[in-house]
Amino acid sequence: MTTSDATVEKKSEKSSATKISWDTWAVLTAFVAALLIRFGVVKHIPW
Amino acid sequence: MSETFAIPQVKQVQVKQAQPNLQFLRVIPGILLLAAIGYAGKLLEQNVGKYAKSHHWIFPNIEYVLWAILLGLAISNTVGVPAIFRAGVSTYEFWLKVGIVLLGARFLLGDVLKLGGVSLALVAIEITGAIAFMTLLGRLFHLKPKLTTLLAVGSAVCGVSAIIATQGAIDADEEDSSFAIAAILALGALALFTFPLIGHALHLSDHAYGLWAGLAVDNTAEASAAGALYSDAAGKLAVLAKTTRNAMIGFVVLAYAIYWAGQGQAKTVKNKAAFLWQKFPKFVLGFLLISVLATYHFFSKDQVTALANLSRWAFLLTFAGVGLRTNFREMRKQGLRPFAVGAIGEVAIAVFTLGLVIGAQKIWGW
Repeated sequence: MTTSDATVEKKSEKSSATKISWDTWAVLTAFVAALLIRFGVVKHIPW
Repeated sequence: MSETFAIPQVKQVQVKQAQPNLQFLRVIPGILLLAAIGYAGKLLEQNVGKYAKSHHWIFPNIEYVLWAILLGLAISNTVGVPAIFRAGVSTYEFWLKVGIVLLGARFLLGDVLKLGGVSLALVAIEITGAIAFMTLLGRLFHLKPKLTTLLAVGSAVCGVSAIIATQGAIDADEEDSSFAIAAILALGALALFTFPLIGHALHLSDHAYGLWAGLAVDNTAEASAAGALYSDAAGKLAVLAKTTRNAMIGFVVLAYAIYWAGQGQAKTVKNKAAFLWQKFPKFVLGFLLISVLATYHFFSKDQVTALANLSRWAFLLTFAGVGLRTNFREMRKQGLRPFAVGAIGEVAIAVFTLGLVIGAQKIWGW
């Protein structure tokens, strides 16, 4: 993040308290991925 | 930790019914760039060592984490990041948080409570000491009081996110927060290269080093990277310690908001519980919930391995983003005094937290 990115981020924070936050999107994404793995839709993640 | 994910905007989607997904498409080039750099880092880790060995060269084993950061730094500080990639590159913190939540599967709840308890005690000492020291330094260097507050919060708690959260809460100037953010980012970039060297020089265990990186490095992305540069186990501990620190953000920002409101220089906080919830990093709850699920065997062993690997991929995108967003020219423009205060403060905090960790290591025998 550059300082200009941070400024954009600050403005977007001020403009919309009702928007879903980064944190919440991240948690939702992680849980969807976890459930896909748990219920066998995704069986293997290579590394 | 209350950054907004600016891409899926409800109003714009309603207006542009015919093109509902176009806003989302803006991030794809940058995400692909993060993935390409991260994967290149992984390939370089696997192949450079082999190549050097086959040619009988002496070459240090450089991990994918450092390769990804170095590739990103090279692009950012030479040709720059083209505009088409910027929206996607700025999602690197999103991938960091996805990675942290998924990493919860590798911690059993008992470990989280035990390590988190130790981290919490050390974090409380670190935050108190760091805020007191940074406030003193700000006064000595005659920095503006609100800039001092931003630097203190940034170095004591949670880097850029803490500064952004505090700036809104205490009505600080945008220029002040830009100074503070630049100082914290520059020092985070330095920590990436110095912390692993110091850790190896002092022969710190993975446990002690990870805890130190999580306590002393300010931005979550840099703390995770500094930990992972040492070892996988140190990376896990660094994330846990840093997450514990992040969880404190609401309390520190609230305290400053009340202080500045008392001085008549910020709005009064009416609903303190709502304020704390708004500032609380939600990914900490996600991390704990996944850890609870893993503890009660909701996931099989193979599934935990798959989740851990997915977490590594998310971190890979993050590390590429750390390099890509670090632009030394832009940081230099922000001026020397805030950087000097930040640098002196960071060195003092690093030494202080190192002492704390070494003391804790002796007590708990890690």
